[in-house]
Amino acid sequence: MKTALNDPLLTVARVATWVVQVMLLIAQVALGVAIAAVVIAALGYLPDNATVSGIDHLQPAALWAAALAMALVLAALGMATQFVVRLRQIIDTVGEGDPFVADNARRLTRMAWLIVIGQVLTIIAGAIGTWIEATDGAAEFDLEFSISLSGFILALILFILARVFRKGAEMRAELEGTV
Amino acid sequence: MGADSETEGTAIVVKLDDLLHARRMTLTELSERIGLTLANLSILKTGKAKAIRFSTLEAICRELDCQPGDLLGYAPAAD
Repeated sequence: MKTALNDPLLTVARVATWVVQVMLLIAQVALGVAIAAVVIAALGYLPDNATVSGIDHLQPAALWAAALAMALVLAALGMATQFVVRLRQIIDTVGEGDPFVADNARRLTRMAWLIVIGQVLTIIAGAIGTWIEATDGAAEFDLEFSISLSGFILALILFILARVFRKGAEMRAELEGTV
Repeated sequence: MGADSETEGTAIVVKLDDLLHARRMTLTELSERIGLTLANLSILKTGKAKAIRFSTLEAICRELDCQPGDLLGYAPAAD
């Protein structure tokens, strides 16, 4: 990885992917703990100071729905991790000086699908949040029910880039046989 | 792309071996003279090359004092 060390852009990009991955891990752990707490509450095992946390007035159905929404977000975070890992693998191939390989085309396609599925998951989670707020007036579920346009545009760009890389890999293979 | 990509270009024969033999030159020597890596020149010699640059062809013709036709031949497969 000598070239990557000498290349500021690649170094920054690689460090960024690690930072994002660690942040995602922290978020996943926190969300996992939160889901466990909500499930415990939904099962009726509420601690005495539950009023402070404000989940005591919610019906079990709403709590289960909240747990489901959070689980969906957890899954989306897991996919974000997959995305970042693939991004780093692509950055590594750039550092090695041979990015136009079929593997990168496959990675980009996979990343595009991860974005699409992640978008769908967060939309469903947001819809559940809206439903909880609708059934319980006092509840505040901090999840936005929004279709992210930039997310789908990113997915489109990734699908196109995957094709670009596939073409690049073909051209690379042809160049390989040229003397 | 009319022909099968697997067999495409296989009717072209590279006669580098014969030329080198006639000129008593080794592949390594030629690679040094034309500034091409031995690996790439081996690909050409064994007929595994898919394409040849004019610059490479020119350098080989210059060093071996021959015409492109001396280096390349066309031998259609009898089927």
